[in-house]
Parts: sequence; C-alpha cells; structure tokens
Amino acid sequence: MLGFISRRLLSGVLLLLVTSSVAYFLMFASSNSIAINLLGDAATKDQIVAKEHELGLDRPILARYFDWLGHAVTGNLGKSWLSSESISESLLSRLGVTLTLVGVVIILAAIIATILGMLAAVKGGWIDRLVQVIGITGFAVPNFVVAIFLVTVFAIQTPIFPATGWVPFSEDPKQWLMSLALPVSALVLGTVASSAQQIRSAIKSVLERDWVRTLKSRGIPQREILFKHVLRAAAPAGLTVLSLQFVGLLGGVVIIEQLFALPGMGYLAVSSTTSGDTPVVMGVVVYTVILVIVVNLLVDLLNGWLNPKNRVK
Amino acid sequence: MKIRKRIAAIAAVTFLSSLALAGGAGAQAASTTSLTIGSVVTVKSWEPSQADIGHGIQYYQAVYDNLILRSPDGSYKPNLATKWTINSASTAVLLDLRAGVKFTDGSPFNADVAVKNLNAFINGNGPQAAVFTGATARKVDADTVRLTLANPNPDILYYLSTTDSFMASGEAVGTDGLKTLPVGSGPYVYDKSSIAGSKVVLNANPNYWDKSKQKFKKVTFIFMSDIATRVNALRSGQIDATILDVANADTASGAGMKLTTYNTDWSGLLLLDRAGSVNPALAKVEVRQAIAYAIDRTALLRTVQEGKGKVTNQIFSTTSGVYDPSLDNLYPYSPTKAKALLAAAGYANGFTLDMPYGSFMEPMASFLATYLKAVKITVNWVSTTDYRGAVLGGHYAAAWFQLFQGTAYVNYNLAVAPNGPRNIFSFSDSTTLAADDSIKANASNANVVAQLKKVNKHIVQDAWFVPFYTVPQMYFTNKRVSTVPQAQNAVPYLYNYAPTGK
Repeated sequence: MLGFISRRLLSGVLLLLVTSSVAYFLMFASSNSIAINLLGDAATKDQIVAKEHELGLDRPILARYFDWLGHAVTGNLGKSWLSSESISESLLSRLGVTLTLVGVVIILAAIIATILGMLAAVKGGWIDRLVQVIGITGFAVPNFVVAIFLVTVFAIQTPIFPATGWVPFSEDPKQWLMSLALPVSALVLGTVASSAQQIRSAIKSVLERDWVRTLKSRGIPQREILFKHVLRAAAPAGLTVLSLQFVGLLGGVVIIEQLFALPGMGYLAVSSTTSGDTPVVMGVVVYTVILVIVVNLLVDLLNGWLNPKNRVK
Repeated sequence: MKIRKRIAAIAAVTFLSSLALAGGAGAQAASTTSLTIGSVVTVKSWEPSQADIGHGIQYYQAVYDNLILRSPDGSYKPNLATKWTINSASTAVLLDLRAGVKFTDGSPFNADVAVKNLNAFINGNGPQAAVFTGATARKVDADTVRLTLANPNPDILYYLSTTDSFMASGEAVGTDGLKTLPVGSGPYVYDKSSIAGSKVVLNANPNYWDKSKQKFKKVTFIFMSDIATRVNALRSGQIDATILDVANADTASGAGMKLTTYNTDWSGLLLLDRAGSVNPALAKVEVRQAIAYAIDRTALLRTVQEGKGKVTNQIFSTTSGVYDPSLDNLYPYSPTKAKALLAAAGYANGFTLDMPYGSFMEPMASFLATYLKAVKITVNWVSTTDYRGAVLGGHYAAAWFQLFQGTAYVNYNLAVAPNGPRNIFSFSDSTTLAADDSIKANASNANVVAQLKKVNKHIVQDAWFVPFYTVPQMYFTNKRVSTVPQAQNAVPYLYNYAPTGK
C-alpha cells in the first residue's frame, strides 16, 4: 500500500510539473497586457515600458519560468501583480470557499443520487423513468440557468435567501448556510443528474449477480442485502463518478462563483487569467492539480477499503 | 416496506433540512446607516500613488483625503489644503495645509508628510503619474508645500483633486505594507474582515476631522464584475448602489430603483494611424471622412443603445467649454458621399481594414462591418482576449473604443496631444502642434479654451476620430440611499452618497 501511495504521489509530482509548465507557456502565448491593465487608461508608453521592466516582463521567458519554478518548489508562489497580496494566502482563503461549495454539493449529490439510483434500480417502473428524466433535464439545463431561476424566485420574488455574497462560518453560521443555499442548489441538480443514473446502473448490475440471488434464497432480509451487501459492492462505481464530479465541479463552479459574487478560487482564476496576472494563474494551477491528485488518491484508498478486491498491490 | 420507510425518512430529513435552511433567516438587509456598493473594479494596491480615476477612485476616497476636494459640479474646495495659489504660467502651486489632522496610526499630517506623498506619486509610476512627470514637491514651512511642474498644466487643480494628492501616513508611505493595508486620514477605516479582490469593508473613522463627508457608519464595496449579479444584488437589497447599463436599466427601474444618469464617455472609432504607417489608406483625410459618412450613427444609437445617448461627432463633452454644436452636423449618413471621397482618395475599389474584435462589441461590430462593406471597406475583425492591449499595442490602424470625456484639457491630453496615451501613433500636425505650443506658452483658461476650440474643429474636420454617440452612465440606487453624479467621473464620488432615512 505504501508503495502504491508513493508511486501515485510521484506521478502526481510529474503531472504537476508538466501541467504548470504548459500553463506558464500558455499564459506567455496569450500575452495579456498586464502593464496596461495595471496602469489604466492614461498610461503613457514610457510608463508601460517601466512597469513591464518592474515586473520582469522584459526578461526571456525561460529565465522567468525557471525563476518561478525555483521559488514554487520552495513553496513561495510570490505575490499577485494586481493586488500585491501573497498568492498562497490569497489562495488558501479562497480555497475554503470553493471547497466548501464543492464539498457540500458532492455530499448532497451523493445522498440524493444514491437514494434516487437505489429507488430506480430496486423499484423500476415510473421511479426509474423519473430518474432518467431528471438525468436528461440535469444535463440539458446549464447550472447558471438554474442559478438565475433560483435567484429570481427565492431571492428576489420571495426574498428568503441572499441573491449574492458569502458569509464566513466563523462570522455567522446561520448566514453561512443561507449564503450557501442557492449556489449549492444550482450545482446539485446537474451533479445529481449525472450521478444518479450511474449509481442506478451499478446497483442494478449488482442486484443481478448470482450471490445476491443466493442471499435472497437464504431468507436474508432485503434491507440487509441492499444496505450491507449491494450498496457496498456498487459503491466503487458511485465513488468514481463522484470523484470525477468533484474534479469537474472545480472548473464548473467558476460561473456560479461569478454569478453569486463568491470569493472563491474559480472566480480568482478567471479574473487573473483575463487580466494576465501570471503568478496568480500559476498558483491556481498548482493548487488545483494538487487537489485533483489528492482526491483521486483518496478515492482509490476508499475503494480499496470498501472492497478488498479493489486493493492495489 | 421497511426499505421504503427508510428511504422516505431520509428524504424527509433532507427536505426538512432544506426547509430549516429556508426558514432560518431572510436575506440580509442593509441598514440605513450603512452603504453597500456593487463595484465593477477591485483595488489593485492601496498605495495612494496607484489610485486611478473612474470606478476605482471611491475606494481611495474612503480611506484617504486628498489636498483639494472636487465638488459634484467640478468646482474646487479646500480639503487637506485650506488654500492654494497657482502661478501665472500654471507651472507651480503653493498649498497651505490644514493643521491638526491625524492619520489612523496616530501620526500627524504636515508639510513633510505631504511632500513625501507627492514625491511618492511623482515617482510611483501609477496610472496618473505621467501628468506630473518631472515635477518636484518641496516643503516651504511646517504647513506649506510647493509643487512645481516640468510643463504648464492648466488643469493642475483637477489632478490634485482627483488621484494625484491622496495622503497616506508618513510612516506608511514607501512601505510594502501600504499595498495591502491603507493607513490614511480619510472618513473610513479599513476593516480586516475585507477579502482582497472581493470585498472591502470600511468603518467610520471615529476621529475624522470633517463629519460632513462621513455619512455612514459602515461602507462596503463588493466586487461584482457580472452585470446580472449586480442587478440581482440590487433588486434583492444586498447592495444599495451600482452601475448598470441600458439593457438592464428597465429591469432595475421596474423594481423601484432610482436611476441617476450622466455622460462621461463617448463611443466610436479611433482612427489612430493618421500617418498611414500600418494602413496607408488612413493617411488620407478623405478616407477618414468617408468612414465618418459611411456610418449611420442615429441607427446605431437606436439599435445598440436603445436610443439613450446623443449622436455626436466630437470627443469633447457638451460641458467642456470647447464643444461646438454645429460640428455635429458635419457627417450626415451618406454612403454616396463616402464612395465619392474614397474614389477621390484613390480607393474607389475600397480596401481592407484590420480591427481588433471582442464579443462584447456585438451587435455593434456587425452593424459597423455592414456599413463599411457598403462603401467597399472590408473590415477584418481580429479576435482578441485582451482588447485594451490590442488597441494600445499600436498594431491596428483603427479600433472601436469607449473613451472617457474629461475636462477639455484632460481630454486633449488623453487623446489628441502628441504624447497622449490614446494618441497611439503619437500623431501631430501643424494645427495641433501650434495649439500645444500656445498652451505651454500661455496656460490661462481663456487661451486653453480658445486653442482647444480650434483643435476640436480641426480634428472633427480631419476625422481623427469617428465618434458615434455619447454613452449615458446608468447608475442605480435603492430607496435607502441617494446620490449625486460627479462631473467627469464614471461613478459618483463616495462623498456624494447619503442615507435617505428610509
């Protein structure tokens, strides 16, 4: 197991190196005029040249890249060109918002999708068809459309939830929940849609196995078969889907963060990319890749724990 | 049956949790003693030298005082400077400073601190620093400073009352800490619950020297780049004030929000390459005039701006003092006239014009291409994700832009002066050079106005630009807050907001 974890971590480091290099050179190719963005409309050519020199943009790209890499491996991601804020501090404060949003969505989606998937697989009939309709609807309706609908109904027409904004848990737990309600709801539908059908198929496939028939023939209660054996055997497929959803949500959450003005990492990624704030973009890339590596590793370990057959030697 | 009950129980718990969430509390309502603004920009650095005009100035006005105050109508009033004297050449200003003002770190404001701040601005390479290039600030006595410019500047008070004289604590100027934590003497104090790049929270400065500028106990700026987000936040009462656009104005008005409208921008084509170094066709006055005749500005205003704004040929505003109503009749829509001018310039078969393109330009870009195609000018739109960089990079002979209409001299300095930042190819001719020399020799208001009137007429006749219309700013407030527009600024100054008591 230790060897497996080591190998995964090593491949993760390589992935991080490749991804960050590609991202750095892509940022260079897009060549956004960060100096102009910083200096505003009245900036003269001399000022722009001076600002580019100050930021080191007049140096060769390879020299700049190795400088960045040298600092990054020591954990120093530098400071934002736009806000002068420490990138590590900025990302850590924003990571909490994004992870909370994505985490709550995944937990809720796991519960709802498991219930729906189980009902559809066990009961069949109209419930099965309903799950399929939910699946298609969830795919067809983009989450920002759901978000706009929810805001219109539950924040403007019936002012129950805040239309925008984020309240830290430490500041006011009740308002924290309120500020999460609409963005989470907007993301849950699509996540449930794509997970429920996969979970349904996995459960249905397990239910058709010989050993399930054997358990039934021995008179073991259906509840025990379902929750103790079938769900456990179907869990790896569900976990894999949810882990992919988690990774997908890290990107998908961008629009929702923008729409609800949430100070998350996705929002920072978009604003820094469009303004050409390379150090911040690189910080976002590094943190995101690390998250993806960690989530995949955890899912592998969880799968192994749930089903000994899946344990990797 | 038991499985069904279990599932039903889980579903019920989930549902009830949702209800508990829903019933927990209503949307946060703003207090009448607080002001929450939905802002379209964030603070890049809290150093006063990095302050910019437009949307961003409100942040700096909250935490810093500048030497001179600009009233909503554009007139100047004492602030940290109680009086001032400008020399006849408009190259130096002597400022008497207010006594007894302290910064939030307890340090005093005096001539040494003022000089330190002015020099930090001059040497800081901030957005507005070019105006004072080569200037020097010197202490005259404990409460007097002299600012001496390298060149005459007839609008020196404008610059000192906007971004160029925000004063930070003498202890903080020049430190890295000032980039992320402001230390000023302004009406509000930065609260550490702020989130960089997202939310700025400010509490009333208990020791502030001018309570008339401190109308709220708390001011919060929330960065909302998305216009739908700002509309939703305004309608739901989460923010008290924000800027919207023509497309969203009816929604906000329909929800009972109050519209304050004013002009600060013009929209149109910058025909930048007047020497023809990138596209030789634009060196011909007839070609530039043909472009002006080829575009139906009235139709553009109606379709793009829903008729809100005013068709114009001039980059100078109606309140600039150099605006000439007769010039707005110079280029009526006439494809026939445009074709004749192109033929006279040797372009009877037209030419191709490369221009940068961003999707935000639609539907205007499509209309523009159609109008120009009708006179055989083929627009080659070049897509870019960095529109401003593309325009300012000097690679395009022409580009669409929405440009600020400042005071007459500010506008001239920005777009027409030989070294103006929006005169991308640094083009000049005998008329503009003569005006520039005259202003440098005699920077009196009368001469500046006289010279810029000549410049305005000349650049309209020679079609340096093809303005379409003025763009009204659509600023909305809810019933809790009122505001007054600020002359030549995209949004009202922070001092212009007041609680209505509702």
